[in-house]
Amino acid sequence: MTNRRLMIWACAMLVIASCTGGDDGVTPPVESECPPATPLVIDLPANFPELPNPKDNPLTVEGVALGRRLFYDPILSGDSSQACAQCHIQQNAFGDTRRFSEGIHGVFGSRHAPTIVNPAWVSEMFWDGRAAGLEGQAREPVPNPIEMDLPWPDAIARLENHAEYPGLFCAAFGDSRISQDRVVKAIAQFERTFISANSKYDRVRRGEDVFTPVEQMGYDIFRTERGDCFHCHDELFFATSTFHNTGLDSIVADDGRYDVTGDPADIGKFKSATLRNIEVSSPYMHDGRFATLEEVIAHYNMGFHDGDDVDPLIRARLTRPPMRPGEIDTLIVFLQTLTDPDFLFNPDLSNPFLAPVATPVTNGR
Amino acid sequence: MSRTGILRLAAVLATLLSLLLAGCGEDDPVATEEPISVDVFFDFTVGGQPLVLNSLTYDNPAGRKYSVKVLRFVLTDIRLHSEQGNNVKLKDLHYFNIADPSSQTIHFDGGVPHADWNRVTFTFGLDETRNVRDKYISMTKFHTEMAWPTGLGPNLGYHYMQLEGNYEQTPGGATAGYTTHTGARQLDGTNPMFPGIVDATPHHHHFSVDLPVTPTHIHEGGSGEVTLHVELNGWYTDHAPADGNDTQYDFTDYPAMIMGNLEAQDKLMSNGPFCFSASMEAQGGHH
Repeated sequence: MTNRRLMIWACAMLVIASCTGGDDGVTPPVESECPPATPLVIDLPANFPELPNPKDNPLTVEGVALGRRLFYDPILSGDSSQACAQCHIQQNAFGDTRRFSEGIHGVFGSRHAPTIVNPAWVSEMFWDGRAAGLEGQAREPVPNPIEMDLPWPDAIARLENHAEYPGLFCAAFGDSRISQDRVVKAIAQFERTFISANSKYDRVRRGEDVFTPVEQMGYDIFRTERGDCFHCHDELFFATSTFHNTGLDSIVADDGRYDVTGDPADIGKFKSATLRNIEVSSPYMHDGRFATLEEVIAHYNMGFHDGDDVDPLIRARLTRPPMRPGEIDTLIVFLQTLTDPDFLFNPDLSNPFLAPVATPVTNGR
Repeated sequence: MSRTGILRLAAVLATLLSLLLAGCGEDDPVATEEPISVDVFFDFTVGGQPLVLNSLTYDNPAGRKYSVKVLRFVLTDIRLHSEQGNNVKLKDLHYFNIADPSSQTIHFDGGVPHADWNRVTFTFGLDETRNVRDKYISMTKFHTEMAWPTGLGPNLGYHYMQLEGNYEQTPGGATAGYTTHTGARQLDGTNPMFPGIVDATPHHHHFSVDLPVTPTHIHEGGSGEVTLHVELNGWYTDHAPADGNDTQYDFTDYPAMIMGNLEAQDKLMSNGPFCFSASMEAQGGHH
C-alpha cells in the first residue's frame, strides 16, 4: 500500500470509528455468562391497552419462568413452608379464601390478601397503595415477620446455594448473580402476565357474545348512576387506583391510606379493588368482612355508616331511592360475567411443581 | 510524492475531516427562532379564599357552607397566542388531579416565533373528536378515573370534571355529599335513571375558554410562567346570561347524580367560563 492510500485508509477508519456509538476506548463490555434472555411479547385483545413493560425489567421468557418458580416455591419463607401462592391462589383470582392470611408462625395479618388481576396496569400496590408497582410490592412479604419471615440476605444465600436457581437467574438476567432486586424483578415479570381479558364481559365488549336479558339489566344498573359502581370500578380494569372511605365503620378501625400519606383526610381510605373475577374471590373488602356479594352491595346500597369523612360518592347514594332486591340480583348476575376461566385456569400461571389443572366446565362464561 | 499528489491528498483529508466533524451530528436540533420553555401553574380560590381541601368553610353563592374533597378535570388544546397572530400548542390534553402533584404543572419546551404573548386558550373538557370511548385507553389513570359511563352515552368518552365535597344541609346542621361531575349526555333507553327515554343526539357540555394576559415576550433561552386562576365558586354563580336564565346552582337542588341531568349540566357549562382568569410572566433569556 502506498503512503497516500495508507493515509486515506487511516482517515476513513478514523471517521468510521468516531461514529460508532462512542465507546471511546472505554472498557469493553463484560461477556455474559449466558446468552441474552428471549423477549416475551404478549398479544392482548383489542379492548385492552398495550401491556406496560418497564425498560429496566422487560418481560422475557426466562424471566417470567423464573418468577413463576419463585412465586410457587416455599424456599422464600423462613421455614421453607410457605410460598407467595399459598395466600394468592390462582383459582381465586390470586386471592385468599380466608379472611386473613396466616404467616409461617401461625400469626394472621390484619388485612385480607388482595387479588392479583391485571396488576401490570396498577401503579400503587396493597390496599393502602404504599408500594410502587409490582417490583415494589414484591419486596415486602418475604422479610415480613408475620408473613414469610426470611431476611433478604438469607433468601439470597439460599438461592445461591440451590442446585438450579443460579442457572435460572443466569438465563433470565445474563449472569448468575442473585440479588433481591433480581428476585423481585422476576416475580414482577411473572405477575405482569396475570392478564384477565376473556370474561364474558370482554367477549360481549368485543362483539363475540351477547348478554342475557338479566345480565343486561344488571349491566345497565352497573353503568349508570342507579348502581353508581362505575366511578370506582371503570369498565376496563373494573378498578381505579383511587382511595375511598366507604363508611364501613362508625369509628375507623384501620387508618388505611393515612398510614402512607399522614393526611388526616385519608383516614380509613382504601384502594378500589378490581371486580374482575369477583365471583370467585370472596371474602370481600380490605378486611374480608363480607362473605357474599349480597352483603357487599347491601353495604353500598344503604348499609354504610354516613359521616363527614365518608366519600361523597358513597354519600351521594342517599339522594336516590335504594336499589330493590331484584335490581341487586341482576347486578350480581352481571358481576358474574366478569369471571374469566381462561385466567383462573391458565396453565401458564399455574404451579410449575405440579401437573396442570384441568379447566372446569363453566356455565357458558 | 508530487506537489499535485500532496494537494489531492490534502483535499481528500479535508473532505474526510469534514465528514468526521459533520457526519455524527444526529441530534442536531431543528433550528427555531426562539427556543423557550413555558410552565403553566394552577391557582384555586373559593370565594376569593385560597383553596384548602376538606375544609367546610366556604360559602357558595346561596350562602351554604361547603368543602372540597376531590378536584379532577381535563383541559384540551391548550394554546398560547400572540399579538402577532401566532399561536403555539402547549399541550393537547392535560389531566389535572389535585391529589396528584405531578399533574399540577404543564411544562412546554419548544421553538416558538418571536412574539408578544397575550392570550391563553383551551377547551374545558373534550370536544367531539376527543370525547370518544376508549380514545385514551393507554393513559391508564386518566382513563380509569375519568371514564364516562356507557349508560350516559355508549360511545362517549370521559368526565370533564369531578368536583366533590360536603355541604351543610341547614346552617350549622348535618352535612351531605355533593358530586359536581360534568360531561356529555346521550340516552338510548336503557338507563334505569331515565326509563325508556331515548335522546340520541349527544349533548356536549365542553366549552372554550379565552383568557387575556398582559403581553409578554419570552426571550431566547428564557421561560414563561402562566398561572391559571380558578375560582371554584364560579361553577355555582349566576352570571346573568343574555337569555335571562338563572344559572345559580345550589347543592340542595343538585346534590349528586347530576351526570345525566341536562338542567344541571347546562348551568355548569354556562357558568364554567367565568371560573377562569390567567396571568403571565417571563423569566430570564437573552435580549
